Amino acid sequence: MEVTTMAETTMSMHEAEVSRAVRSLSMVLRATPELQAFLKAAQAIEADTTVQGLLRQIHTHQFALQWSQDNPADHSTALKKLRADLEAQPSVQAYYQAEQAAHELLQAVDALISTTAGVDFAANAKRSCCGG
Amino acid sequence: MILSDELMQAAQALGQSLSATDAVQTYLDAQARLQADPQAASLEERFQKLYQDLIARQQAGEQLTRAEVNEFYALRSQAQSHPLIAERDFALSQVKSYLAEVALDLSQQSRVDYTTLARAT
Repeated sequence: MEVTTMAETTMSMHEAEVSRAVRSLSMVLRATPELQAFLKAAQAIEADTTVQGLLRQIHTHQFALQWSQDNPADHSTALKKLRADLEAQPSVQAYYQAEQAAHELLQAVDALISTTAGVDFAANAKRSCCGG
Repeated sequence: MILSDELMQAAQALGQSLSATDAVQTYLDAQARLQADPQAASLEERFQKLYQDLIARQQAGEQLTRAEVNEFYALRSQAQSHPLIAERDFALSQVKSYLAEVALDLSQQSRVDYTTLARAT
């Protein structure tokens, strides 16, 4: 017979409360103009054929550089120009703007969560390459 | 950045529920025990100060001497073997693992990478 201790019950109650709070916060966040604009800007980039073409060319040159194909200087020059072209695209500029607004919103939200919890939330929640 | 009342309440509710969890309480208790012990607190402070100093100098392009590197490893070993610091470090690793799960859940439900966006500079 499985026995549940009082400590386990209390712990699962707290964790269930966290899950509920995550659901509520997610709903409010999704409705904010900042996150809606950010998701819309990301979709616009996905749908922008010019941007996708530039990204494909960038990946091709990066691959060539990584595997030392042809003349590396030619690939570096091409990459520099392609990146400048990419940055100049209206949908990319709109994405950066929306990203900045989303960042400012989530930073403020994170500061509030961290102060209330007594521990830095996002800073400690970031997974490192080595699982730390 | 001014947050709406609804967003403030939702963020505070998550913070409050996190603070009640076993992982966060264990970490905060371990940190308080460390801070209450003058020897452990001093060792931790010396180690952090040396670490920050060496990192800053290395990032500025300065070459560290073998003696400085050895001093760092010796102090790190001393800090890591102190029971109160070891206890706090273990509790911190546990709380990090738990917070990563919560943040992943938040990212999936809000449809944005919460951790990256909240920390990006």
